[in-house]
Amino acid sequence: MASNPDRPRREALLALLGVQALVLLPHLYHLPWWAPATALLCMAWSALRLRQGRRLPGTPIRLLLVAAGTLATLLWFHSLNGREAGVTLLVLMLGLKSLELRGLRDALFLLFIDYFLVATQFLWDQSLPLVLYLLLSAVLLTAVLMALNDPHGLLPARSLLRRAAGLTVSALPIMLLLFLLFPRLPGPLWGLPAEQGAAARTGLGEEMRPGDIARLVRSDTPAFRVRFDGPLPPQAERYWRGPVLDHFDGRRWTRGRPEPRVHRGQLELDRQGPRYRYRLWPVEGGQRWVTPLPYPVVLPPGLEASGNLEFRVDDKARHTGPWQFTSYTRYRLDAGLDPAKRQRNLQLPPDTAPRARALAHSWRQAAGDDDMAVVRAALALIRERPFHYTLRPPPLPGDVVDGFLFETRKGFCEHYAGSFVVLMRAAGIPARVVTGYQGGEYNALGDYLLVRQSDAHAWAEVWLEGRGWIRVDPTAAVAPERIERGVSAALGDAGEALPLLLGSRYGSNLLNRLRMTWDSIGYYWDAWVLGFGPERQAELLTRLGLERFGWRALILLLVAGVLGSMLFLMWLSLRRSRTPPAPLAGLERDLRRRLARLGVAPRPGEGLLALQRRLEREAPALAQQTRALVQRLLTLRYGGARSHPGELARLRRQARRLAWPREEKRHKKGPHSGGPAKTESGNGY
Amino acid sequence: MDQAMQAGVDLRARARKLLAAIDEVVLGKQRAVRLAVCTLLGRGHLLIEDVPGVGKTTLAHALAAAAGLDWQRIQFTSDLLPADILGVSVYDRERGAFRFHPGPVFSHLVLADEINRATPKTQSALLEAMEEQQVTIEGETHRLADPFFVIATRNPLEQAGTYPLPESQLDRFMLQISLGYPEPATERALLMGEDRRRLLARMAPVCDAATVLSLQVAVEGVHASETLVDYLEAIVRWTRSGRFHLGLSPRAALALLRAARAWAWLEGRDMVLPEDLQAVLAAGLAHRLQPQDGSRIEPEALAREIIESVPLP
Repeated sequence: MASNPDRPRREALLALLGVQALVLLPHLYHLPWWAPATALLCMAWSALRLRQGRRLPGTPIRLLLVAAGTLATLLWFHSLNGREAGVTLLVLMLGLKSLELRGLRDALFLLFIDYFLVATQFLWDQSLPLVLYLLLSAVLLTAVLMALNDPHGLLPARSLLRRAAGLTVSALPIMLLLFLLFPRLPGPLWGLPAEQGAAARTGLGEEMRPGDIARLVRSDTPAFRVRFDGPLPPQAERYWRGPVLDHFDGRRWTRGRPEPRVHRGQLELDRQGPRYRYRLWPVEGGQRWVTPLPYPVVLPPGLEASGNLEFRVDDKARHTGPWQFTSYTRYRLDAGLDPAKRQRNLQLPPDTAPRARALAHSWRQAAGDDDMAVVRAALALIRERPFHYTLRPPPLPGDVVDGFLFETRKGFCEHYAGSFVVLMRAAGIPARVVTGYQGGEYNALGDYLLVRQSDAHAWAEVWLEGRGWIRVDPTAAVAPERIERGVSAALGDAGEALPLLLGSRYGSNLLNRLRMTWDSIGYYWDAWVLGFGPERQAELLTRLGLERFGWRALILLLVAGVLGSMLFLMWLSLRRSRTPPAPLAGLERDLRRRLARLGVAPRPGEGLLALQRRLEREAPALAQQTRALVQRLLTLRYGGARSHPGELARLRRQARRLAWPREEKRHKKGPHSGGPAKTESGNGY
Repeated sequence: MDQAMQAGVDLRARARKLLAAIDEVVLGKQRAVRLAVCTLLGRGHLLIEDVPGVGKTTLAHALAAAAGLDWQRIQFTSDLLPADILGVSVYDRERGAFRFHPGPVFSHLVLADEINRATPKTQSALLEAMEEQQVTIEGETHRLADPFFVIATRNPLEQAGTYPLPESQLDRFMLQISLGYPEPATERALLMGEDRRRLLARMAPVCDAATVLSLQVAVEGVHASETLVDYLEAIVRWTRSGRFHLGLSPRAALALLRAARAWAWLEGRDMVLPEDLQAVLAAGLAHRLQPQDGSRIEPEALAREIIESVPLP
């Protein structure tokens, strides 16, 4: 069985199934779990049958399974098209195909589908760890491909792996060329518009109820990265503005009537104070919301702003890469408020929070027309009463606002921001909840600010006559360290358990550095690899001076580059097959070169021993120096001796230091430089 | 270990004495003598191509006498039959059975003089015996002596009534040498000196068959590294590049390596160097290669060309 060339070895087939399982594994993440699981089961079945040398299931069973798999996909997705449904079907059929793994043809078919399956992973995730994993899978697949074509098992597994890795490495230059020069379409490479809008955003939600942001706080994944041209704003100024929630139904804050998209290009702001210029990279697969510092003066193309100044990606623009912003953190917004908007920001559902309303009325009465005094009173309440900042607030089954303000008094930013806005609105001050991120960690390695999902925050904005919207963060009143130093600091006293990595943020220095290094690698990956879009490509062409020729230049460069690198690789492999790398041969070459430089003309076909004999006859002064070296070199090359560690380097040094003795130099160099000289002294060897 | 080393030293001394003893009789042919001894020590067979009267027989006789081997000379003629070489079974009336009378091939050293005068059938009888080191006569297998060493001579001049040996048969000789006319001074010494025949008769053996066997074993232990084999391979490839009717066969390569081992051992080394291969190259090529253009081969010139064009490893 093993010697039939059409019949690959059983070991190769089993290896194929094993590698295929590796390729399938990441799909467990984003496909309905039953699809990869079914495929894996089929493969395990096939592997078991192969091992026992038994027959695989017959045609009726397989046909039945094919029908069942198609039907299941159809029922689950109501379609066989699109990313999820298509790949699910592919995975299922791949598993079923493993059940008829007989000859070389079946194996090759599976293998090529596996290569394709590797590529499908990029439809979901393009992060560096996955890329490395898939690269490894590709190397393994190539090794299996070689094993399949080696029916007699002549090559050991190690040599297969080495060759496969070598092939992959030699493909790298071509890969790089294709990456740089293949004409880019605007928009993300794998973007499928149908799923783009439907995909759930794990970052900021468009609604808020207690518990929502607590979940985010615990997630340590990066949200976006920012690089500033110039100094960073102080920690307390880093409010990254996200969706504005201005509608409250008693339990839930939502974005009210979606504001018409009013702003494009220049924003009308009365701006003052320090200016920050920065680029913001959302993490790949990130949000639809972009969260700049308040407020950017010019909207970058591809971004739109709502009337509440929420910044949203324009899906049609298909922007890739960073967003460029210039923000002023001091500003005056909406100095005059139109009545409709005012009305919307005073909205409160009837019968909610009676006690809070009563309290707000009492403040209003005390303060008269002074809105600012009301704000101060509310902040004083939060600061002076025994409020606690915690990520695990007790449940509030009844009235959320009253329950929090007067009974539990334990909560996180959402509770504070929400209740504060209710108090303000009850006192007749237009107010709204703003969500976003607060803070960020500076990565000195990459010179950028990293903002994580755990930095998600909610705060309030109140509108004051003559001053417009101003930001008030009631969380700062209860837990100033949340704003000054971040979430972990705020939780430090409460002693709440956080995931190890998050908890150690200010603890272990080494761990922190490792984390920052890892994140800066991710940053460069996002910035330079995933962010390499049409603009960057055009920039590259400009730098090469080829922008006039457009895509023709790209194609030409591409073809020339690929051909060139293939020729180079061929030349390299030819050269390697001509001269096997042998340190001893190199040593002998060095010795001969040195001697030639000293005037001992090389003769074709002259072995080392013959050369030494010639030296003994014609240049005893040199022969004396080379005698031991030649003897040792001959023993090493021809006598089967092994060199001691470091010996080769020593011998090489010895060879390079050969020289005529001082007094003989003048007399001897002359005759020897022309060629073999006649013996001057009579003591021939 | 010490004993083994001592034995090695003794064996080398013995080999040196062997060379010296032969050189005393065969004057001025040190290189040829050394190649002949190499062939013996490398378990090969020797072909001498030369005009008559330059000492072929003397060399064979001296080698046999100095090595202490018994030897037989067979003059090949066109009417020589295989049985004349191998032996015959004769009916023994007294014992009522056939009895095998071994032919001249049953000795340590066989001198096959003017081998190309015999018919191909007779030639191949000898050559098969050389290859197998045994003869089969009427279904009975007889082992030949060990060591078994054939020195064949042939006349280079085209003559009527000769049967040139085919290439496949020539390949069975490890080396081919020619003695050539002696140098004037040597020839003078030869003429002035004692009669060779008397010298040979007086010659005391420095070895015996058992010693020759252990010399052969010692030669087999000489180390041939991969680097050297690479060089040999390169040389063999060079001869296969189309200039000759046939390039060197794997058997030829093996013969060259064995000869080089013997040469290296005689030089007092336990490893084969490229120089050893170069030393036996001409003798190994001479009878094996035939230029496509039909010209006669000049072994020494060809060997020099190969040495200069095949790069050392």
